[in-house]
Amino acid sequence: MRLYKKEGDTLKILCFPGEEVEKGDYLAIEEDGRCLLVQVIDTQFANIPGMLEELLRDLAIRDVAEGEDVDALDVGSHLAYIQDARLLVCKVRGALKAGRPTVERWLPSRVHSKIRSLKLSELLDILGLPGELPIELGWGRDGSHVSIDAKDLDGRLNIITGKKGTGKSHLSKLLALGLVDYGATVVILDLNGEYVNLGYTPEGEKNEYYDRIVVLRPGGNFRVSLAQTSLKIIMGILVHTFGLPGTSAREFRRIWSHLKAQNNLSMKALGEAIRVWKCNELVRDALYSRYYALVSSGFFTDDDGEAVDLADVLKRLDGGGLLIVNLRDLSPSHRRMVVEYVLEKLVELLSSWDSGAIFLFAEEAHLYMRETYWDDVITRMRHLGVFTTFITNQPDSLGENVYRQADNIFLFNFTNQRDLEMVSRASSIDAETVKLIANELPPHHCLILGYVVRDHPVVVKVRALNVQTMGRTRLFFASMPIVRAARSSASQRAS
Amino acid sequence: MTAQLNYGSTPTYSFPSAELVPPEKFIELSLETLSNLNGSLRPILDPLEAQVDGLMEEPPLELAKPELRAIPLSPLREKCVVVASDSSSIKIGETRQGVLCAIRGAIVWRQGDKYRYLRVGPLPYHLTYESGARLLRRLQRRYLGVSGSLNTQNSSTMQIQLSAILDYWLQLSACRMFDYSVVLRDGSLTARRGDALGNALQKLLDTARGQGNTVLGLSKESRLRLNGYRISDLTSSCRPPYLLELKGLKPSRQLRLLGRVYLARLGLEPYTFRLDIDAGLDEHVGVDAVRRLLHNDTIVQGYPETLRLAHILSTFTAAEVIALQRYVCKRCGLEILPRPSIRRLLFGPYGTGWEGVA
Repeated sequence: MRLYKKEGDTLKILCFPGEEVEKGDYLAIEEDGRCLLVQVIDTQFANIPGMLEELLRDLAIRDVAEGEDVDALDVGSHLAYIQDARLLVCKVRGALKAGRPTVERWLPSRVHSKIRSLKLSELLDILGLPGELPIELGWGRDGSHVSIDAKDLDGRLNIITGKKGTGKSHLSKLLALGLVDYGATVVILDLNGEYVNLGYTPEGEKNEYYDRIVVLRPGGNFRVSLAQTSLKIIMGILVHTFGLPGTSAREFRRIWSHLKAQNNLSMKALGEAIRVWKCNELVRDALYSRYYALVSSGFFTDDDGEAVDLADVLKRLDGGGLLIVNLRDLSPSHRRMVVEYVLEKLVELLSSWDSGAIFLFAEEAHLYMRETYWDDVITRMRHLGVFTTFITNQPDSLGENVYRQADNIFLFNFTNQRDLEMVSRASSIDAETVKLIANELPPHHCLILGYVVRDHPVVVKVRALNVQTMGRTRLFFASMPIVRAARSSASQRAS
Repeated sequence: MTAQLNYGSTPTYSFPSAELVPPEKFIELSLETLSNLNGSLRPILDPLEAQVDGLMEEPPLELAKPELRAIPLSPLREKCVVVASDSSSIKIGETRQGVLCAIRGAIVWRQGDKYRYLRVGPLPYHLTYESGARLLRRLQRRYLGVSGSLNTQNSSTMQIQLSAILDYWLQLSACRMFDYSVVLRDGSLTARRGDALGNALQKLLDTARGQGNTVLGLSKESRLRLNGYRISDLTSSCRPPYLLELKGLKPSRQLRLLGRVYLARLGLEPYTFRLDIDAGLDEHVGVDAVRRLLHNDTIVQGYPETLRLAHILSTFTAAEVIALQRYVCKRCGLEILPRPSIRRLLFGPYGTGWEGVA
């Protein structure tokens, strides 16, 4: 390999057949005890003079004539070698002086510098990774194990994104379980009910996480009483989820205060209070319709024995565990209501120091999280100790501010340039890297950007998990015997 | 209406005769000249500029008293093989002892709708003043088989002579491979007296005639001038295709005209070329050969496609020059040194520059 050109922080390196380098790989450019760490973000054919002419000639001749080359000295193989020469487009990621990271940059010599492939394990060593609390993610292209430090997710905002079927949910499960291993409390807003079996092995046996996982099914084993619910939470639900108008909200506030003063906060009492409350009939209708929405959700109960206290659940998971809120089979409005309750409750608990910091994993959050929450999540809630990981296949569903504030991005394949454009707004990485590497990532390969890799983007193949991940979509034609049976019965009918 | 070329591809392939054995002496001598090569190689800045296409430079001829006669042509519907050859040479670098050059040549023939070719090379040679002359004499003995001198004045002429000998071998092979065919060569049928290649040309024409072949020499650029004007600028009111016969050519004492000289416009496009037809044949036989050419080959922009393909196949590209440099460096353990550009060193805006480095 040979240094060819430098344009800004982009270096172009000539590479010949036999020197196997791919996108995402790191190279070390060494010279006089100094070393420049560069990452290959694109591979192109070297622009050799006359190459177009060469190819056109070859093509034109092959089209019209057939013959034989007496190339006794086999110069042709050297020509093929030249024709296959590649140009590696690289970004400078860091530098070392006497083996230690330095902020100094310099232009290496074309003649005297030596360029070699840098093993990923070597790079991670230089970066001091994985640190004290390693979470093993998988392998690099060269087979090096890649782990990140669980501490680097602490207090951070993370995004896992990529197109459908690339392995986003799988990675989120891996990270969540990795955090649990180190005693962290993780709350998962499980949109499709695909996290609920993490306590089982693929064979269906209980695994080491079984006792550390609590699955809450709203309306099932997750019901709450009004007495546990603060006015703020219930107002949030009524106003933001059920769109209660301002005037009606004011009346509701009065009713709530009245019931609270009487120490009579229950669904039954609330319904009765609305019925007899002196107010405009339109207001009463508005309150009634919201009240019945609450009732029909089955989320609220007057039975204290049935009601679940989130504080108690979190205490149970104190030594590390997963609290999975299964949002599957809930209508969109009920989903939003439950999430509103859970998030506000968490904030309440954290504000009163009744709970330690928690990690929140939110899959396709735009489907159940109101827009005003975005800023809340990345500012207020973060400071209170809710460290969120968003998982989405629609990057534009998260606001630009979320990307700008993101500390870590786990990026899977995207082919759509608009999606990549959105992700590239993350301030920690250049848009070129995102666009060029991410659009060619194979399934289950992830480009890690941000603090967890000390701003040295790393491509990793995510390892398998010994748990039931259930992240697959149920398919119509997957069950072939059914198809065959249907076909044979159809043919019988025909005969 | 725009004519659309319709080339047929060849589903099967076989050589017509056993004449086309690889020119072993060329290969052997190439390896021999490389065997003593060591040290360093200074590649030249723009090798394609130094590429020499075809034979020696055509000697200048002045047409004093013109006698022009237009001969209208129509395709003669007789099936025959059209065969063409071309060669080229290129300087690929300089060593401490001499120059490193390479040659390549190709024969292309058309039978029916199919084009076939044999390409020889590239063959690199290390030419020094002493070894170059010796090399050419050995090739002369082996392939030309005629007496006469070869121009070994400097490395450039030696390179051209080397390519010319390969071209001669290809043409002779072509003449022996086919009977009653039209043999096209790139260049005129003019020879210098006492020159080995001139004598070889005479021998080639004799061999061709013996096989019933007609040799036509087509020059892309002619130095033949009429009252100071290039003859290729002459046209006739005759409807193309036609030949314009140039009578009254009086070459200098050193030159021999081995062919009858015509100006040929073979297509509707306004391109004319000097065409030499073997003077040893009756005039009508020569003209009929051109008519057979019109029937049996595709004429693109007034130029036979067979000869065009031979030219394309033998020409070097920039990538091939780099490949040759790599081959030689790897084989002989040479180090490539950038050549200091005096012009850039003296006048370049950045003071220091090395040729060959972007």
